[in-house]
Amino acid sequence: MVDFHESDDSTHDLVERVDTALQALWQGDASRFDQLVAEDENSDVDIGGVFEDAMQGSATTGVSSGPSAIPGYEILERIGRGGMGVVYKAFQLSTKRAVAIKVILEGSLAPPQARRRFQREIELTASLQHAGIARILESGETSDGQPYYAMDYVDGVELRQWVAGNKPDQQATLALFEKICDAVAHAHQNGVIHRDLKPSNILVNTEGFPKILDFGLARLVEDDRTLTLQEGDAMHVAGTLRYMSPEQTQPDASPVDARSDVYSLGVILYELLTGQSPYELSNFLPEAVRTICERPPQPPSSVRSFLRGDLETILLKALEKEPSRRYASVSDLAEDIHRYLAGEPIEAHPPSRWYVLRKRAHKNRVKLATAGMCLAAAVFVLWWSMQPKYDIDYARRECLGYRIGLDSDRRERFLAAALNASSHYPELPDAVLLWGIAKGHSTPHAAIHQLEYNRKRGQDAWWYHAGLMELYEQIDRPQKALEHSEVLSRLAPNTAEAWYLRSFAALDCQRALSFAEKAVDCDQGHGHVLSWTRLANLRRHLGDFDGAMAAADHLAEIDVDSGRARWLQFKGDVAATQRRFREAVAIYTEGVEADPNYMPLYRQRAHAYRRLGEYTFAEADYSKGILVIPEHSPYPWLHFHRATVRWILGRRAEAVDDCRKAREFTAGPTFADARMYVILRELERTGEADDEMRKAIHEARGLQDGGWLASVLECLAGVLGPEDLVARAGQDTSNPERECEAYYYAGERCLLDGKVDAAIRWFRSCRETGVEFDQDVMPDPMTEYELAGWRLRQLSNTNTPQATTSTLHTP
Amino acid sequence: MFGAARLTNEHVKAAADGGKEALGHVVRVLESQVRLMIAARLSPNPSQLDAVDDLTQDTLMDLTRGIYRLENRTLGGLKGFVSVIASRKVFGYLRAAKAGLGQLPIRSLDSTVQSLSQAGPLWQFLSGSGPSPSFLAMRGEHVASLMTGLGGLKPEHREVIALAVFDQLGATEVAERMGISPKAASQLLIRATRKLRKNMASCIKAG
Repeated sequence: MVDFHESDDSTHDLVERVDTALQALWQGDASRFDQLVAEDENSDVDIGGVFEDAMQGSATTGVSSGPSAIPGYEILERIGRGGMGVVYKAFQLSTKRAVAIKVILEGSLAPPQARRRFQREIELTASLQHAGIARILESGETSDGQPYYAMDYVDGVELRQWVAGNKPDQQATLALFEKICDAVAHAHQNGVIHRDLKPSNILVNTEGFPKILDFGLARLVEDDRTLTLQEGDAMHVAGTLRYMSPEQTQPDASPVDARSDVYSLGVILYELLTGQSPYELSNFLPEAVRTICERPPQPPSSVRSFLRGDLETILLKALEKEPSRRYASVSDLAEDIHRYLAGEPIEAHPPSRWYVLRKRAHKNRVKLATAGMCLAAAVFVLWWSMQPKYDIDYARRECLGYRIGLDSDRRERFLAAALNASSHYPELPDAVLLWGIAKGHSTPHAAIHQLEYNRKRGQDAWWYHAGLMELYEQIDRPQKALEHSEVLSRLAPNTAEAWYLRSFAALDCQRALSFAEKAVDCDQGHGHVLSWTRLANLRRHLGDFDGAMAAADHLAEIDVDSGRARWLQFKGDVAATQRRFREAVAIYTEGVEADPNYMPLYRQRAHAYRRLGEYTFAEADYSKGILVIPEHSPYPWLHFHRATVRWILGRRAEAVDDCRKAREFTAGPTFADARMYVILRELERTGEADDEMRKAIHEARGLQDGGWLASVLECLAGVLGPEDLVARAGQDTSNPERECEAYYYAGERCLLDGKVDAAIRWFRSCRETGVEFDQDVMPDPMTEYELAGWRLRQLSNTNTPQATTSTLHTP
Repeated sequence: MFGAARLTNEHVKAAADGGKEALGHVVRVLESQVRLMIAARLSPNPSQLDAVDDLTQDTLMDLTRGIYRLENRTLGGLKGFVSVIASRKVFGYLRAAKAGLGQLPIRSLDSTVQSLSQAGPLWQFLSGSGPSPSFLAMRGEHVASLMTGLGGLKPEHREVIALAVFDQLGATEVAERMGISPKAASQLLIRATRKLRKNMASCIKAG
């Protein structure tokens, strides 16, 4: 051990200098460290910069020889950094003009591959001669052999800054965008695709003219190399992922062509016009990629209502997920912008109804399959909410509940719950399993990695093999799956608990069911509630309703925590799902006798009465449900449902009161506002209706996810046309209920305008959607579907509600 | 700013006092740094890429479980704590690998430079997020050459760089960890860095 207490000045000085240099390095300034290490040394390697690079994730230049290293130029200042290099403002001595010089990013550290890419950038950019593309003046090598090129110096700012500073109106923004499109189209015509279009790669000069920069990722059309994200590894999102087309995010290197640039331009235009991105991207890369590839962009008009119509159609066409549905070229996009500016009809049109229906059918299949699971998840959520603290049981329940709801868009919440549980209780096998599976939902490889990691750091427990077996099957590695299956058969005990866990590990529902059946077979005392619950839910989910009923009968006997009433409700729901509403009513009634204070039974029985057309009984049950709920925790939807039923019964004034209560309890706008507006207009309380509507629209527009509700309210108020509402519903292909709602409210709008024939057509379209149940809470009725049927019956009896012709002024 | 440099004493105290949000923040901020701490000590070849990920997660898990035991609840205390965990993890891994394989799995990477350049995603991951895909690609290559250079260093040179640069320990803390004086630690760091630079320069010329 050396003495720590040396105190001479030189020692102190050295240590202090090292500490100061290190401090600066950690803060992102490598210069002091380089200086320290460079003393008495001659080397081209900027080692501090390398460290900084590794730490900061941002490369620094290795141009250590300084500004004088480029013959013929005087370097003035560093002005930025592109994808491939550092850019300096320089003075060209021969022509006495300012130029921009780009030097390869790694300087002397640049590997041959980077040099080749840089050379390609020079060649491709030099082949383009367009006022909207920065022109290359000269290229060569610095005195120490680093490639560089000189280009036009653009005295301007980045596109986003320019917009923020100049605040152009919509016309000016579109005119600017058209110029950008012209430049990109020129590149395409010369066979060059940019592939990295984003606002920071577009400068706008002092005259307001755009220049496109940084062809560092560009490639020739016929070049088959592509740059895409690699699957699952980089867990953080690169900045330009936001502008990447869906096909660019795919690891299978699907063809990237000019339509990728169309997409990027679509994102840029969306941001310019709305001030926000079309998607909210997660920081978790697989999730972000999924959003780009699957989620429809937020309708621009929901952000800025003035974008409704042609401009929205143009944006959404540019942002189509499938390249074949986008504009075929940037020129086509530019032409549509031009037509819009000239007031001519645009070429793009909203998606056809057939296309929308086809997409919905595909989406709906998944939703239908998971709807049963959602209900169970809702029960679990209710259960968790009663738990006082985060104990091991709570962790377990939380995980299992979210696992059930995984397919219904609760993935992120589940990930958080599972991570929490597995970090608190790594010994909890289902937590570990579920964590792995949760990751597997995004990427099976990541899940495998997680389970292998857990397996290696602990004992070689059977539950890891259960998860791994499932995951390897999912990624089609049967041999690996078999290996784990064999280990599993040796290690896994033949107990109810073990089979129950394996049921949760199973990624295939049928296999999950067979494991749940084995669990109850092993349950000698028939008292393992979790196994029986799993069995009941899976049987219902897979359509074995009799089996689900039988399991529920057993649970009604053994599940002392939840109680008999809860399982009678389950049975009633199963019957209602099969449209056996009379039987459902009988079962719910049995439940009410078992526990007269269990509100869901009244609500569900009321729903069943509605389906039977017995609205008086339904109204009575909603009222009983309201009575058994404690005053301090009201349930607004009971009032909403009762309002609907009272309206149908002709008790309009009471219906309005219920709508007001529903609104009061939700403390914000809901569909109760839509209902109330129509009823008030029928009551000829027009002034009151308009006042309420103005308030509701204003509030709905302010909600983060209130775009759809705002559209419905605007349609009823006459601000948005019925066709526009239906078209807007078609933009969200993942939401079949929305289509049903759109047709119904379009019909109500027409009735308010006195257009009975049109209203009938819309109501019929609503019924044709076949969305009988609210998919989120089976078997709750889809109110709009029901009301459309009621309206059609009313209208066919020629007993039309009084038509009114006034429309609301735009709030 | 990178890794621990983005944290304050208040963050550390709140996390050590049981604040879940603060702990989550600390772990998120440290994740990339810990990857580099592990990678700098392992200089892994592509077959060991999983090990970097495993050891990183293991280190972060131990940090999560043990942070409440931290006596010195300051940024300095946290950095020392994480550094010790990471060192032990790597040491344990190397010992286990040696026992299992009969030889040390970590080699100088001269023979695997080519493979490394193909291992883009991990290196992208190691070096954190960046502003564009081209940046990711560039940085991946850059970090790969750094790891190659580290792989060619003597153990004490690699250790001093890992402690000072990636673990973010000052000269005095580095000295204490290595059992030498602060002056010797400072001189060693400078020598090690110069050697690393030479290694990288020759590697680039060879490449």
